[in-house]
Amino acid sequence: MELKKLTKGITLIELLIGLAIFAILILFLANFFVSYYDSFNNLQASNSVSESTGIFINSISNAIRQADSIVSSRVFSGTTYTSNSTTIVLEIPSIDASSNVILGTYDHMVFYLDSSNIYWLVDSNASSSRKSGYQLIASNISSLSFTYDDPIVTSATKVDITITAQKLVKGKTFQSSLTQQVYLRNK
Amino acid sequence: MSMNNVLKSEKGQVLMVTIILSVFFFIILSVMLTSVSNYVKNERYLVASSQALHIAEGGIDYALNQLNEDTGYTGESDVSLGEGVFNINITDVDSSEKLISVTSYVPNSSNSIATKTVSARASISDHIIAFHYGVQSGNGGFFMSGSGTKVNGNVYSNGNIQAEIITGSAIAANLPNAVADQSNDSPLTPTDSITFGNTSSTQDFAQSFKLSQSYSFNNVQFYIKKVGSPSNATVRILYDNSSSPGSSTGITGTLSASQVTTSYGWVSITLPTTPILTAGQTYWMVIDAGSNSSNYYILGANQSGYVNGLGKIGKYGGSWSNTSPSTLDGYFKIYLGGQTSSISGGTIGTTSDDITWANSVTNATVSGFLYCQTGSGNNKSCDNSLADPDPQSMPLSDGNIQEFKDEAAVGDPIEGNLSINSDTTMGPKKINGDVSITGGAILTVTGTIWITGNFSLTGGSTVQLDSSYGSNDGIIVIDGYVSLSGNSQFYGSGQEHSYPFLVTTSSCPDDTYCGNKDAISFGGGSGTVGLIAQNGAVSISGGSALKALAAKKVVMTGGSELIYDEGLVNSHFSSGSGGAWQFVTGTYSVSN
Repeated sequence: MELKKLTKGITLIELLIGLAIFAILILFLANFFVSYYDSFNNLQASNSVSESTGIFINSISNAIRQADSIVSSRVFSGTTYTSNSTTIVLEIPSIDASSNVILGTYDHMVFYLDSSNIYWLVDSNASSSRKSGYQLIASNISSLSFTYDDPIVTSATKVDITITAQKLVKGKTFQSSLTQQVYLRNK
Repeated sequence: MSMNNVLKSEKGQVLMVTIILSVFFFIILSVMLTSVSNYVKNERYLVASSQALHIAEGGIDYALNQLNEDTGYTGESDVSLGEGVFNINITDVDSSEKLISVTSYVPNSSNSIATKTVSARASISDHIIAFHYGVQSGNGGFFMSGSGTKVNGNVYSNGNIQAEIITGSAIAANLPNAVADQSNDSPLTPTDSITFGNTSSTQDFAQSFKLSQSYSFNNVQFYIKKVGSPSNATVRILYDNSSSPGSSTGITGTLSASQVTTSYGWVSITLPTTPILTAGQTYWMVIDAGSNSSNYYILGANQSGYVNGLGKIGKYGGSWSNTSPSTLDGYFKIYLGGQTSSISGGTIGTTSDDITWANSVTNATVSGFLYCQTGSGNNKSCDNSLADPDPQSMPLSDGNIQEFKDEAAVGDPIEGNLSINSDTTMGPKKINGDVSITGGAILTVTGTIWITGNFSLTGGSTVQLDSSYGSNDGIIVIDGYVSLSGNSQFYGSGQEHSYPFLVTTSSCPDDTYCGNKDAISFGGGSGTVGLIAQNGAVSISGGSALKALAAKKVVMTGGSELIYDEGLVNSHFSSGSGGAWQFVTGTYSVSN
C-alpha cells in the first residue's frame, strides 16, 4: 500500500540529526534577534537623550537671546519660581503677529528642573502673539545648571547652560551633555 | 483530498518558517530604520535650525553695515552665507528708526530644511530738545542796543532784560542765587547709587535736608541717570514727620526725563513757586516717579556724605524704608535766593496777547499785557496781579551735551589744531585742538563734531548740514570759545526747520584763557544757526541774523536780528548721516 510506504521513511538517527540542525538554527536566530533587539533599544536610548538635550538647548537659547532681563522671581498660576542654578525666569519683549517687538509690553517664561524633567512655562501679555502654556520639554535629565555672569541675576547679561541627560538600559548608561553660552540680546 | 496530497504539502514547512521569520525580521528592521531616520531627520533639523539662526544673525549685522554705508539701503535677496542664504528687508519706522528683518534659509529658499527670521530696530541718534524762546538767557541777562536790533520771537531771561525791539513776549525772572546752600556731591564719581522708579516698593526717592538760611527755594539739582525711557517725575518738598517724609509744603517741580541721560549728569529742577523755608528745620525732597521695571532712574549716592539729612526709598503717600545700605545720601544741590529782575526800554510785542512781565519794568512801549510790581515811563501802568516770574531751566542739560560728545568721539580723533581753507566734508569727528575755517571754505557737516579747543569762522566761510540731515538739526560742540566774523554763513540741510547749532560749554569771558573773549561772538554774517553757551556770554553784532540763542548772558548790538522758528519748540537733533545706525536694545526678536 502506498500509505504504509510513506510512514516508514525516518530513522531515529535521521530524527536526531534533524532536531540537532533545527536546534542550532533556532539558537542562532534567537541570538541574532536578541542582539538585534538590544541594539535597537540602545539606539533608541542614545537618540532620546541626545534629542532631549538638543531640543532643550535650542529652545532655551532662543528664549534667552530674546530676553531683556532675567527676573529674580515670578508667580505663575500661584507658584513662585525663583531664578537660580536650575530655574530661570525671563522677561521677553512681546511680539506681534509679524514677530516684531511690541515696545513696552513683556511676556514671561520659566524653564525649571523638576526631578528629572524640565518644564517650560509661558505667560504672555494679552497683546502678544506668543501663546501662554506649559510643556514638558526634556526628560531623563540628570543635571542642569544655569550660571549667570553677575551675582545679581537681574543684572546678568550672559547665561552659561550645562545640561546632561542620562538613560539606563539593561545596566548600560547612555548619556548626552551639552553646554551653551547665550547673551541677552535685548539687555 | 487524498492522503497523498496532505503529505505532499507538509513538505512546505521550511518555506513557511522562512516566510514567517523574514516577515518578523523585516518588521523589526523597518521599525529600527524608521527610528533611525526620524532621529537623523530631527538632528538634521536641529543642526540646520542652528545654522539658520546664525546665518540670520550674520545677515542682520551685514544689513546694519550696509545701512551705515548707504542710509537709503532697503535690503536684498538670496545673499549666500555658509550653508544657506538670507533675505534682508528694511522698512522705515520713522525718520530716525528702521526695522531690519532678515530671513535665512538652509540650504536654500526653494527647498529649505530650516528657516529663521531675526528682526531688530536700528536707530541713528536723535534727541528732541525744546527751544521755546528765540532768546533764552541765564542770570547774566539779555541786553540789546543799537537801532534796528531786533528779536522776532519771545525772550525769556533769568536775569534783567534791556530791550530794543522784541516782537513777541519778554519775561525777566528773578535772578537765581548762584551759590548752593546745601549739597552732597563728593566724590565726583559717586561711590554708590540709589535705583528708584523700578518697582512699587522702591518707586520714589526721598532725601531730608536742613537749610542754613531762610531764603526762598530756587531750584534743586540731582546727579542722576536713567535706564530705558522713564516718564517725567514730580519733585516735592515735604515737611518732616518722625524722620520720614510728611505733609506737603506745596512746592513741586518737574524732573524732565528728556534732560536725564543714560550717564550721570546734573539735572536742574526749577521750582515754580518760591515760599520761604525755615532755616534749621528738617524738610524732605521727594522724587515721585512711576514704577516700571525697565524704565527707571538711578541717582548717584554716597554713604553718610550729607550730615544734615538722610536718604530713604519707598512711596510718596505710602511707606518709606531705609536705603540699602542704610546710610546712603543722594547726590543733590539746593540753590536758594533770587533777586528781583527788571525790563528796561524798547518796544515789546506786536499784538495784544504779547506779555511783558518782570518785577520792575521801565521806559517800555508795550503792545499787550504789562505785568509788574513797579514801573515807570511805560505806555501802560503795571498790572500787579501776577507774582514775579520764575526762572526757567536752560534747554540743554550736561547729559545732553555729553551725549553729543559721545556721538562725535567715534573713530580716531584728529590730533592738533585744524585749519580748513578748502571745501571739506566731516563728521562725526572729534578734534583735539582748535579749528579755524578761512578763505571762503565750505564745511559740510555729516555728523556731530566735537572741538576741544576754540572755533573760528572767517573770510566768508560757510558751515552747512549735509542734505541727509533732512528736517533734523545738527550739532557742533565746542569746549572753548567761538568767534564768527567776516560774513560767516550758515545753512541747514535745505529742508525746512533744519539748522546747524553751535554749542559751547565755555564759561568765557569768566575763565582766564578767554582773554576777555565771549563764549560766542558773532560779528557780521548771516544764516540759519542756533547758538548755545549756557555757561558763558554771547555777543551778536552788526547785521548778524540767526535762529535761536540760549546763553548765560546775551548781548545783541548794531542792528543784528534773530528770527525765531516755531519748529524749534520740538527740535530733532540728529547725529547725522555720518553717525552710526545702531541696534535699539529691546527690539530683537527671533521667529521660525
